[in-house]
Amino acid sequence: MATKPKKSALDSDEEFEGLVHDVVRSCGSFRPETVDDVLKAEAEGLDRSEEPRRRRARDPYDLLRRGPKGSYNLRPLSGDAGDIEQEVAAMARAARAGREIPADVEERMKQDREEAERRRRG
Amino acid sequence: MEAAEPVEIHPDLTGAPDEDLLALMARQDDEESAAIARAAFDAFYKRHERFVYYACRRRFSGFIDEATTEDLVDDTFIRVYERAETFRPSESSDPDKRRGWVRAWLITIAANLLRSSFRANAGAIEIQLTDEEWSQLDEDTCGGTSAEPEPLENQLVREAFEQILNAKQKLVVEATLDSYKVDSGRKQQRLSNEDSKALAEKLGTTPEDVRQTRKRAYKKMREYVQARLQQD
Repeated sequence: MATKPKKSALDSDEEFEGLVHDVVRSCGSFRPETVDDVLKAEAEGLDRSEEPRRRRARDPYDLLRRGPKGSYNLRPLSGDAGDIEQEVAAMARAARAGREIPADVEERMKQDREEAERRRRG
Repeated sequence: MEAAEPVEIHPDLTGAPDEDLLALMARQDDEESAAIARAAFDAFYKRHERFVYYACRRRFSGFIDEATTEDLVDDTFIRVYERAETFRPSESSDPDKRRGWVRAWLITIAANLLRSSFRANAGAIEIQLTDEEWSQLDEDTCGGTSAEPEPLENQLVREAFEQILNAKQKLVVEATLDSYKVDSGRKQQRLSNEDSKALAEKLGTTPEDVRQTRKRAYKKMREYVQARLQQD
């Protein structure tokens, strides 16, 4: 009797989106901090850091009177040639960490290099 | 007539456990308990602000500058004061772990605040941890757990996300996670015009660029995962 092929997250855009959602929620920059992360940071002396600060901590009572700001300015992010070069280098590193670079990945790297070059020339 | 200044009383709460301070912040039935709540906030803020600031600076320095990090940390504590009743104490009896639990909760609130601020209705968003986020404070599920090793496809998506995407693509993917609301049936929803506009403003670009950046990021990750799976 033929066995039913195992369902893969790559079968559809929806499945893949769901997988990315789950992975990035648990591993991305905005993932929950863990107790172990905190204990490790404390052991490294993070709360005794002497790195300079722009200002001293606020008076907590003033803070409550002031209320939340609610909006945060991002550092500028641009998709310039530098970004593409960084991306190509990262892709090459990742591919080398595996085995041989697959043809389609190699083609993409070539296209990205050409695009970066075009942008550099303006 | 000017509004009366709130009553301020200053009981010494410097040695009180975090759980007690949060319970005091949550109970504001009358003028006196509100004054005690503010005193509890004072002690709580002074105890944890420094750690939370440096932890946020370390984690979010790629996205926001130092001044913005300070605003984010302040907002985190204000949210805690406003929603202290949502705190769930740690079940551990180890005092270090109990303190670690509280600090992990604070940094997770900061992360959620920052991510949510990319959305159009950021001001209206309630920052409360989901059940899944509470459980993650106790155990890092990134990379799987000892009981459940990470499936290969998850490993490859993580690898693709971390190593293939550039900073802008990563940010767009992370900032739009909630907008897509992937449910258990894996239904895909489109990024709303309002949310793409809000994020575009934050990034100093156009909504179309946000959509294209996201589309390209997903395509790259998918191609990478497919290529790696074919190798194995």
